[in-house]
Amino acid sequence: MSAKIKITVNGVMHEAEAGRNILQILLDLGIMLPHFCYHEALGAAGACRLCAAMISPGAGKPARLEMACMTRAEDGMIVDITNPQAVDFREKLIEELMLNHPHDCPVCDEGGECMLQDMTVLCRHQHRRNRFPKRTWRNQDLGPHIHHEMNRCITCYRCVRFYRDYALGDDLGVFGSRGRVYFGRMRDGALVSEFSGNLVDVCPTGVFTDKHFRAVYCRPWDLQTAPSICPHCSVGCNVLPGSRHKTLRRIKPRRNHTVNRFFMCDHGRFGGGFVNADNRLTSARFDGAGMSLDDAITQTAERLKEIVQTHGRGAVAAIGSPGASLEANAALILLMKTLEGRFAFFSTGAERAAHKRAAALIANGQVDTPSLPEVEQADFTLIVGGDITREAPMMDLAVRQTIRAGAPLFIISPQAGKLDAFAKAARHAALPEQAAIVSNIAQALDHALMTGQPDPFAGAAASALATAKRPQILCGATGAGGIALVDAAHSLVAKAVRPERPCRLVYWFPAMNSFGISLARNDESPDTIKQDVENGRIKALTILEHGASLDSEWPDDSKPMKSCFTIAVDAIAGKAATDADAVLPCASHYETFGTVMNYEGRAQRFEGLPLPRPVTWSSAEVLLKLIEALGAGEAINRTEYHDLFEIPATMSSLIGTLAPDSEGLLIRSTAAVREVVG
Amino acid sequence: MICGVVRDMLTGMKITAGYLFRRPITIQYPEQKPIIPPRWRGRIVLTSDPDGEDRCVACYLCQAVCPVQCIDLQAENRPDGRRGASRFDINFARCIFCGFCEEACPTYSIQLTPDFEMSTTARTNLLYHKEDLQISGTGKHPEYSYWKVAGVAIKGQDKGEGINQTAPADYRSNLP
Amino acid sequence: MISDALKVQLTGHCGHYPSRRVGLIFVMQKLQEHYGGWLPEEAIREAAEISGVPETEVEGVATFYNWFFREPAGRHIIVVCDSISCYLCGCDRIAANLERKLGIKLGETTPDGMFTLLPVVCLGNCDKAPSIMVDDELYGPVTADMIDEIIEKTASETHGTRRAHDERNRPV
Repeated sequence: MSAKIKITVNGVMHEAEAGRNILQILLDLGIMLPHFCYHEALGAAGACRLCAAMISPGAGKPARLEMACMTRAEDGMIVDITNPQAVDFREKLIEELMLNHPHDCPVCDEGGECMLQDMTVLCRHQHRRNRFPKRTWRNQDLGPHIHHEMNRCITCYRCVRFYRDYALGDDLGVFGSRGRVYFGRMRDGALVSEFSGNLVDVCPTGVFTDKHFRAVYCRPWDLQTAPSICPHCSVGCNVLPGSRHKTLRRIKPRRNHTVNRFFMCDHGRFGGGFVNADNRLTSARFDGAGMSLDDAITQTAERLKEIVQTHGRGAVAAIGSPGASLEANAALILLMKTLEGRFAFFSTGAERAAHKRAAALIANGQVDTPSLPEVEQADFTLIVGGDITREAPMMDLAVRQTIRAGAPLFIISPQAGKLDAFAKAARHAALPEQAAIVSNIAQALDHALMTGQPDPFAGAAASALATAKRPQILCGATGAGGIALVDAAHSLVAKAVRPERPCRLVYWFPAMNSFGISLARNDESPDTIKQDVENGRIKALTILEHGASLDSEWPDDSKPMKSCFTIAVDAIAGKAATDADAVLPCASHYETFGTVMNYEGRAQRFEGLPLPRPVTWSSAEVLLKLIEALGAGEAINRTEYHDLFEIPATMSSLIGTLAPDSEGLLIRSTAAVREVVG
Repeated sequence: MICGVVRDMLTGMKITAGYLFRRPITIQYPEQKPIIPPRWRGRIVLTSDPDGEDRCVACYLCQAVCPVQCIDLQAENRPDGRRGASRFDINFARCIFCGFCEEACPTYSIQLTPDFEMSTTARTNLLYHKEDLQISGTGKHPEYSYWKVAGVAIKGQDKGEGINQTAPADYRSNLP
Repeated sequence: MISDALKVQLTGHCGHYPSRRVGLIFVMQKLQEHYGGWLPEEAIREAAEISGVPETEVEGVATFYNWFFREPAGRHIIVVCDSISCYLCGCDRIAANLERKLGIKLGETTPDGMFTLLPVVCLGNCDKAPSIMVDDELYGPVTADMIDEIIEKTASETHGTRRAHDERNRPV
């Protein structure tokens, strides 16, 4: 792939990568050749005929009108996209594509980012000559997320190519033929795929549009955006939320070629409602009385000082959050250090053990964790420890790419999932029992390719694993699976690795920043903290962003909690905030900046939308104010990330300088910085 | 030389004296109203379509084109299938009456009228809301109705019932 | 509903191929025959179940091909070629004649379920334009007088020739 060829475009010689089609090369060079059906992820189809250019195989050889997306670039080729014949061809073609396109641009939600509009202008089609009536279509109700307006369709087939071919969904189809082609479902009903929202982006015009955005519509050029990270799972998809008039309007994927690339799941795309929700915390409270945030912070600091003076060290504790940024959790640890308190992060001790082991394996470089594009390249996949479709949907989409390439898939999950339909074999077992099954596979690997295994599932998986060239194992690191499952997956990988063949291992976590907080130094098991809260040894408990985190089991509103002074730093009025003695509101995820670490230990910076609310401070800032109010402000400047987290000192400063549009920084304790792209 | 000066002076006096007996061009505004040409760019209005419904479909083009950004609106989807503006504000303190909004409007909704008498003693009075801007007539394009050509189904006009449209196609039909 | 015997036969047929989906067209032909010349929604569902192809894709195939019908079709299908040669030789007159004679428009079926009248693009019978095809019988050049005769002849046949046609084309 790295071989270079020389290609002449419009009389200028360019150097390009070999083995790609001419359209790709032109687009990479920033030369805009009109196109519809070609999409970077979906590839070329040669269906729309819009990327026509005069292409000659070399100097002196005759040029022909050819489709750039269907022509492989060869050394010495001469491409002329301004040739009158090509320009004329494209102009006529777009006129035909527009024959039945309705005149509803003013009420079309695609307006402002419509590819059809751009291409029509680019091809210089301005005047509709056809006077015959326009064909119309009835729309379908495609559920709560996607609005259907079939009149606008120009039959580029991108939707089915994405939905059916790329995401392996089977409820969106193409019907009819010739001038009567319809894209939709058999009958009205919600699209079942987890990736249906991508139809909005994939469709070059307004056939599929975002129903939620439609309800609060404004033109995309009026949206204020900020590069952010999706808070819903540990994949850490790069997103671009857009806001206007103080409300979040929509979320779109943001390209990061090492993470989610072009797409995102519906959960992330349509799951931004918490920002505009009615249950946002807007005012601070102390002992039931509403007051300004500054006053509440001062009073809370006074109370904390009192408690520490009366009860001594260890009377103050804190619970961090995997749904909060590294900065917020660091501020929480610093607060506890100031007060000589204790802190925990997870909901159970078992979860803590599993997370910490998995994160340590990744950070120490003991396992080879693939990025999402690398997950797509595997030729054997074993999924264990949860339902990946729900817990890390974009990883599910990456696994679907391996299925398309014909790679075998084996699944061990607690219950039937959507990927089961594509699996060679699927075994359903409760999470605590899954470690044993993984061990069986490891055992079977010893005498793989032998028939008559005691466990046919393990035997089949082992023999497929033994013959694969780029195998991978995806393992959910959860409390229920426990450390046993994490270790079982690791030992299976250790057994499968051969000098000539790496075996990759993904541990996925339940929340956005689970990896980050797993690296915390000196944290305690949540079980001991819980115990000490219950038996009254802990007198003050600080709970960080619990309303946004996934582990809602604890803290609960049981009696012992009420005897203890609780401080909730949160954006959402969840259970923790409702019962807390001091409520310190903070900005929500999409309104703040920070750093999170995804499943592969990739630190990514996100920035906040400027949504003017009563509360504009992030939870980290609120906690730092609290530390300052305690009179320990100078500790803030002295503290580095590596003082609080198991991060090499060299990386500590790199995290501070991360740019939101970079590929991120892989946290590895070997201090070998694999990639930093600014 | 003196003769020349006197002559020039008399010539000037003659012109001045001539105007003494002509009708004055100025008028006694405000008692007497001036005649304003119909295409004068004055107070902005939002017109209705021939059915009496809002012509504005909240496409945001006027807002986008406005060089002084004095227009602000919010779109809404109505139960009858139409889209319109739930809020439409024009800040006439900022408006320069350039008429770009009228040019950009795809539905002939926003129109400039020959009315300039908008002076007020408080700036806030120059913030016009939707109800202040709306008029009941169609204004300059009495026939035009955007929804008749849009191809969108609205109450009282199903798919394919607009101008120059065929009835909704059926891909299941036996007719090839 | 199809009989268990037919279901077993069709399921078995799909099993002959490396991929079950290869058998889809044959399954659909058989189902169309079973349901009296067209594919109701039930047939689409059954074809999907038998061949393992998603329902939406079966519907795509059914609506793509001219000779799969998704609306009830008559016992005899009359197709009028409207391609260039037949158009020049006056296929419009033939179509109008047929419409008048049968009392239906192009694309419709007679109320007694006997005839369905459809246009077609080229029957490959350009040397005998204008040309029509009734079931699998080609006629051309057709004149206005011939139409009554052709229709009467077809109507008098107790068994539709389409079925025989399907039988002949059965894959082995």
